[in-house]
Amino acid sequence: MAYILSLRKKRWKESLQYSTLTFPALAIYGIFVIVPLLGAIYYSMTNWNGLSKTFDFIGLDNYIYLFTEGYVWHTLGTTFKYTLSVTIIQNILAIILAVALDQNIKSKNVLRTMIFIVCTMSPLITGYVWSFIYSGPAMSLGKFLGIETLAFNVLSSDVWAIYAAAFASIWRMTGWTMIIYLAGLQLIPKELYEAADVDGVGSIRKFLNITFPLLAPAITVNIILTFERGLKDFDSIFALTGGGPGDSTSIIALSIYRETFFFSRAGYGTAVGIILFLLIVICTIIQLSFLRKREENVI
Amino acid sequence: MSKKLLFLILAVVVLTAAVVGCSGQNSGNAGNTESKQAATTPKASKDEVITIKYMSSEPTDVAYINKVVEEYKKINPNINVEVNIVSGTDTFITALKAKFSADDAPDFYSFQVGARTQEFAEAGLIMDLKGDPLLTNINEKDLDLVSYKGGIYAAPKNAQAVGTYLNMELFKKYNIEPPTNFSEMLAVNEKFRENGVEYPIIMAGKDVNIVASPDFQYLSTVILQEDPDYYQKILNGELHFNSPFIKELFDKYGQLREYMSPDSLGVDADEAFKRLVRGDGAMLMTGTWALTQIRTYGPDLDLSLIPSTFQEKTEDRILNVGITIGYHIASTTKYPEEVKKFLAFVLTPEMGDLYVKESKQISATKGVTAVADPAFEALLPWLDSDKKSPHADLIWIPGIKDVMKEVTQKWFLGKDIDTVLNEWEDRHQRLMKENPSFVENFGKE
Repeated sequence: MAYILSLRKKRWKESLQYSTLTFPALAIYGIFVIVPLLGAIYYSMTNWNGLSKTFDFIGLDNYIYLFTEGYVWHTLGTTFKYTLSVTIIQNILAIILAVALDQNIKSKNVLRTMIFIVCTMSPLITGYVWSFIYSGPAMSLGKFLGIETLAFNVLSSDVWAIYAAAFASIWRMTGWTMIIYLAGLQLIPKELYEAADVDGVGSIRKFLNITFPLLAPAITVNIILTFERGLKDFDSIFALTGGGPGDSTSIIALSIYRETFFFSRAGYGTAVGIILFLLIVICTIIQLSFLRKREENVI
Repeated sequence: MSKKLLFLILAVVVLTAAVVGCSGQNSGNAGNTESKQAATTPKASKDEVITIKYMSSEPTDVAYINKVVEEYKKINPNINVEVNIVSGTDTFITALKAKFSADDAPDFYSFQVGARTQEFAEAGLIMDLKGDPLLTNINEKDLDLVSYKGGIYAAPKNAQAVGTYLNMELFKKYNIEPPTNFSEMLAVNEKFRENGVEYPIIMAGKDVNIVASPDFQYLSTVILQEDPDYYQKILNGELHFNSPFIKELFDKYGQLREYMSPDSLGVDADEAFKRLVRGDGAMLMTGTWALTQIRTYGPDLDLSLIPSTFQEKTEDRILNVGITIGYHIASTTKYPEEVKKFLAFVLTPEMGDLYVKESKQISATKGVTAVADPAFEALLPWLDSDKKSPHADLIWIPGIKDVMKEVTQKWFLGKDIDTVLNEWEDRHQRLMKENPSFVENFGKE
């Protein structure tokens, strides 16, 4: 009995020592993430205008207003259009590129680097670059090909501008997603492909029955991260369209910015930010539960 | 044992460093009722070189202020001015509010007067300059938009006029006289069409400021003339932004829209200026602030800015011009006396002439004789007369001007006029509800 007690004491001491090593990281996380989050929750329940030294605590008024007025729901709809486009297309493109660049091609390292290097560009710069492209070369191309939407600057179309913005984001981040898929491809046992070759299985069936199912962990990571990034995106759309034309590309992050700085409603803007945070958490949990089940089925 | 102790000590040191590094950030928090009075720091000594920080939204201010500082240093060698340019009204206000919140406000800045000055004055963030000698060279009647609750919170820097730029080379080529009223404006457009210029009016539909330029002009030269108290009535509920008098604005705008290119929504400000210079169109509605950029593309273009032509009768024509930008001194500045002395120097007629030459704008300083550009010569008779009307929107509740620009762009996109005007009114109601002190204090000296 005494032996068991001393063993437990020893293990507890060891746990405490190892836990101590995590304190700095936890402290930094607490100071830079938890404390600002708690602060944001507090400010979201005030009528602070972003400038005054004084404000009143108004409880849930900001949240009640948010759920009853239509403007934020419109921006949420636009945000989901943007996010779904980016998530689906970016991942499909990234898988295709990853599979292609996993073959024995001489220039594959150069191509991988070229595709990946684009994602090191700042989203703001990407937005300005694509604004120039859409307003100049793309318009000339549209006129040459007779595509009216492109010829009249796709960013001026209240229907297509959001998809043009999604395209710019996909262009920038596909390389990053591709790298994760490439890493996932390395984990697939080569013997499976060899066995498939022996059985005379074609490329498409190999992809559908071996590659795609066994990429499940990489798919989980990429879908979750791409979706979450899409919901939070601000910089590239700010640079590309500023939310226009009209409010057709006004996404939720932009509305937080405008409520806080233009309309001097920092408390309300913070409330919208908290709702976005909760939305990201809920979407992530749903995606995780669905995609993890899929991973388990594959294994 | 010593390794474990070392780990523990390291953990404590890092924790302490993180806490200490993040503490002391208290004065950026709202809710701190301690008022931010100017300069508890003792006055700088004569030999001490001090740097005062200036923030502006006008890119031309860099060259201008540097030349002013050069002159100022001849009499005050211990002053440096660090200029920070944040171009664009939207980004400037964002950056300025962020800097004030972070306790990193510039010592002084130049920005829009009117409701924006009131907003910062109400928050106690800018200094009251009433009775200060630096206002000696400013006309009393130009102080309306910088006054709030008996104080004067900015020194007017410039006046901006809004009108229509004419490519006079095209007008002369087709022997067309500039329009002087609305009917003539429509007739001029038809004449250009007859001469092969299908879309004589250039519109930068992608730029919310330019697409709303007709709104600004109509509000100032028609609505404000017919009813100077129109905005007080809107705040009282007697008028609304979806009332018939606003619809008339869009009726006239709609008639002019016939003469704007179908790809206008894809045209940004830069492209619009290039089109004007190239002669793709003959007219562009915007203000004096655009001249610097237009001249970048067409330094020798025969250009003329004329007052708006929304009036039916030529004799009713009026120039939309008014104090737009003012110098504001932050109440948190450590060097209030130095900043005031510098501004007093900036606001002399000699420095006003320099401002006009460098920035190609209209100075608000008395006694300035320089003319910014031949393009503004057509404005001179109006500038020297009473036929002037200030900007009708600078007094609006903060934020509603951006709504106006957005709904105008939506209308330009093809949305139904009643829908966009109802949205404008709804969002104005919302802003009024959120800012009752603005509504209560509106119009009070």
